[in-house]
Amino acid sequence: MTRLVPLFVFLGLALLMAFMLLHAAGPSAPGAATDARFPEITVTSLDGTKKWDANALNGEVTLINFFASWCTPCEAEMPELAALKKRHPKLRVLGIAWNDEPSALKKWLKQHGNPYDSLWFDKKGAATIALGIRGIPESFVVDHQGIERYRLSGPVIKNDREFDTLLTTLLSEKNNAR
Amino acid sequence: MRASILIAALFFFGTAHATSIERPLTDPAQEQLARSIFTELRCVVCEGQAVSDSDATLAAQMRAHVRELVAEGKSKNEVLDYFRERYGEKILMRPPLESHTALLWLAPLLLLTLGGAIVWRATRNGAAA
Repeated sequence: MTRLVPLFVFLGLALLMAFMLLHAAGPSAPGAATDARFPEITVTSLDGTKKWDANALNGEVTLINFFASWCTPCEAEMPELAALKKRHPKLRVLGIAWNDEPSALKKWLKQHGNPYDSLWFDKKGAATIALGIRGIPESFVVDHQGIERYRLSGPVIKNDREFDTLLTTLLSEKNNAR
Repeated sequence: MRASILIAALFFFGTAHATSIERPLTDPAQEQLARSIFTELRCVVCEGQAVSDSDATLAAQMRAHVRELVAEGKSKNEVLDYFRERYGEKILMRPPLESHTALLWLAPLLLLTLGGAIVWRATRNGAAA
């Protein structure tokens, strides 16, 4: 039995390290919302004439989706974003294109459908970095008070009941507040 | 399925076409400070590479962002804190030794000691047999 002690110590250390590494995953771990006001970010409209301000959220429950026309997983989530809009007609969906070209973007949205209520452009990555994004697609759910309530690294997936329930709850909060 | 899509997403982030957004600061002291910060920040879409050494688009954008913060008059620690607040300790090439990172620092030493003990014990048992 004593011969197995080093093995148990090793396994114990490995588990402890794995636990610590998982908990040091940082602010972009899936679902790890800040529960703070969604920050002002530096993005513009596609033609560059309009800048983001607090009014962009407009007091509505909003899904903010970072994507790009060259990103295959983003293409894969387009039908699900459209389906979300159908299931939750009052949900606003904002798209923020990272490192893209407006002409390529317009062509791509025409091809794959446009689920966005409004489109923004993060040309220099300022918003991507300010939000600590590591990869796209990445989405944020902001409630009607502008508070970040959910963060999803990776595509919005089909039949994600937890995510759907959260949206239903937030949208009903909005209705109850009226 | 979800994990593979996420990995693919990270891959695409790392290999996206680079943008020509890198302009050195006109003040040589500020540019030197910015370059020293590049070496302290880990590229979040690369394997063990500093932002200074990476060709990834996000790394180039991070360098541009560092230059902007330095041009605004931010100190090295303020810039590093800015990135740490957003990306966590892992963004730093040299995470500080704190209570919650202590195991990460001490683990190699602990594992080396443990491995040495196992080898020593095995050779001693072998010699005894």
